[in-house]
Amino acid sequence: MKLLLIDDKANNGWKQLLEKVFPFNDLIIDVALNIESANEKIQIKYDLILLDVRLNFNDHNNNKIEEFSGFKILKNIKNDFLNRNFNTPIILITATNKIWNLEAFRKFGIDSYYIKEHPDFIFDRDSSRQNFMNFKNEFIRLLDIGANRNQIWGISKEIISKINTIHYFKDEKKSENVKSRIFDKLKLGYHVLFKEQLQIEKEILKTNNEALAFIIFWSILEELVKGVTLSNSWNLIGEFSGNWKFKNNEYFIESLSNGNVKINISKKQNNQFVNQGIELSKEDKDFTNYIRGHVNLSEQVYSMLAGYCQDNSSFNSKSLEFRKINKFRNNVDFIHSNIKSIYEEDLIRQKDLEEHYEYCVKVLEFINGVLEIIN
Amino acid sequence: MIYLIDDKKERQLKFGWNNELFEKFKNLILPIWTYNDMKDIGFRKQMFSDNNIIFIHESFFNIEINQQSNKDIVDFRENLENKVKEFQNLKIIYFSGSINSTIINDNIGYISVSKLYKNLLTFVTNCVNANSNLDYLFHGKNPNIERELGQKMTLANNEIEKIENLNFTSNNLCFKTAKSPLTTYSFNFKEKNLFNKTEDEDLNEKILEDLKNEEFDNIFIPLCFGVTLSDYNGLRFATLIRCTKTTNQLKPIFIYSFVGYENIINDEYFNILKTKNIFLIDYKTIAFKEALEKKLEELTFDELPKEIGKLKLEVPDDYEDNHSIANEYGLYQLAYNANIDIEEIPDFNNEKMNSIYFKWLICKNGLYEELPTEIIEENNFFRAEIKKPKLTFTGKKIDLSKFNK
Repeated sequence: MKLLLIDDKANNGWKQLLEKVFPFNDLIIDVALNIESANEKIQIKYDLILLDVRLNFNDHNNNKIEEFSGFKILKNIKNDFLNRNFNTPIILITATNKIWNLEAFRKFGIDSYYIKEHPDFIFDRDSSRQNFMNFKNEFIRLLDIGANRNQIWGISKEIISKINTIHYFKDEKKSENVKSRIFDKLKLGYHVLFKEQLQIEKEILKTNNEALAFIIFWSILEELVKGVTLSNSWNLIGEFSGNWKFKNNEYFIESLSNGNVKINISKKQNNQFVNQGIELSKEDKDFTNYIRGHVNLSEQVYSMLAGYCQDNSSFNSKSLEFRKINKFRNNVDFIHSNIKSIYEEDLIRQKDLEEHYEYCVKVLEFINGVLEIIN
Repeated sequence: MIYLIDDKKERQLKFGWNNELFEKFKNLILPIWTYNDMKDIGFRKQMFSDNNIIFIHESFFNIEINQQSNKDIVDFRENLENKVKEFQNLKIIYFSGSINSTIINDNIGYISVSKLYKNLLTFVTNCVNANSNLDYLFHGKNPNIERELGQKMTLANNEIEKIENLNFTSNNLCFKTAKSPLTTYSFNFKEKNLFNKTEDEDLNEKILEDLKNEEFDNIFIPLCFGVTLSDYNGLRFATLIRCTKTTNQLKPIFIYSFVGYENIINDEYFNILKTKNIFLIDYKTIAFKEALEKKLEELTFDELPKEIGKLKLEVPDDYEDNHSIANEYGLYQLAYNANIDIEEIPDFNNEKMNSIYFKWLICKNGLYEELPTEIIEENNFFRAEIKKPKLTFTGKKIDLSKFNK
């Protein structure tokens, strides 16, 4: 476990004391004594960062928050989602008693703070103990959250990295736009998932960050499918041309010269997913939907898998993976609630929160896996 | 000419030394705020001339070194005192927030920041009248105070009366300077000598040497001792005794004096006399007798923080001291709450533990007390849980409640 302590007095006892307060067997504490050293160190990934506000003589003569060394370092950490420590929990350690300073740091992404008691404003005994208890609890809580954040961020980063290399997302302006939307949804989903939940949100407003984040991550599939589809499948005003062709020239929907339409659909037969082409004529009930391109997302995804998977085995395993996620998505209360839930269960069920988080991971891993196949 | 070398303008302003005042006395005193102000060799040569006085804040060169790492600055500092030997009438006076006593040895002196700035105007005004007697700097408007106190002390020693048949069974300790014959006349006190070393660490050493183990019923200390009698070190000594963990920490203290309250009322440690079981008494045998006859309610540890809180000590106003004391205090407080012995932290600046300000803080906030048992147990439990092998991350939330007892 690696911790970065950014404090000009780190070697005056703070490092040694923290090692004793938190005696994890594998704890390694790196120190940065000034802004230059901190900016170097933050290129390495840490599990937790402890950040002081004032790191030099000038900071102590300064009243502007944006001029504090600690603030500048925080902005450097948080100025890009892909920064190595963007997702690393940060505890501000400060002697400030000014609530507006703490708020300013909060706005730029610290997760918690510990007040270093100062001779000028001393806590009473109980407050001092509470300050310490909070520090301990926050330390542990943030390590836990940090592990989760790292997982989600790690997969998101891989997705971004893959999309940046796949030429399908670079070939035209529309593709660039798709790419940008995927990145924004990743960041939005990350934010929603790890946004601190206020008590009122939990108890009164019944928010469920995990479910909302899942929906956002799930919706990336829309962009993903369109990103690997030839954009001339739709005209300038969004009307379907009649042919849905992927960028590898595989068809999903093909208008035939005889006026029929051929669709490649996936079906589950004998526990295996198979892909088959079906020709529909005007008399078939689904003809109109396909000729207009009105296809639900899950079918689009199956078809994308069919179009890009190299072999049946890979197609089958990815389809099964998607089926599980899709089934979950159909039951998530924020999209389609099932009958039992509507009539018998609360909207927010504590036991579901973990499952919602797991499926956030699953859907991102699925997307990552699809990009691997496409690449 | 007086050269005032101090990087902190705010400190000067606090004591009224603004640009206007420096301008008014520009023929007598020149402020220097940065090393660059005195970099010029010609200027420096002028500064290091006979009959000049140089006041230097002790941390001035530390700050410069930290910012610039200039070999020239290092050499300059090291050669500073050599210059004094070269010029017999050149005086160098160091001042700092961590200096408590006023001392001058030959041409090198030491004075506290507050005393320097409080008396600087008096000193400079007298310099206008061609009177650059440093006693005005050390003692303010009464430069003869040391001589007066010396005379009073001699007189008091000569007038010590002997009283027969004083039988006290109590076990008492009397600190005395070598010049005092008092206690041997009438009382069977244990005696310990106080010498000229009066900085906090010296007095701490004295306390640990003489008060740590053997328990006394009463402690007597002189108000005036050390090189500079008008430092009234007895007040600070009494404060240190109260703030140092020894067997005698809470015992009654009688500060014997040949001057009255009017001399000491403005002293930073005067309020120690307002605390329980610390008294100012006359330097007379009868006063000692009356002190020993007092029926006193014992001071308790519960009362100590409130009592010692009657003193209001200023945070030392040197940058390094202020910042480092805040750092040390924050560290100490965290270690205390975590039930970790500060001596287990080798990088902790233990010198600060000797400073009266730091000791006063600890005492005032009850940090010498043991933590309640349940908190110690909780801390131990927490650390034991943390030391267990780390679980492999499964993607599921870790149950944090297991870290709380």
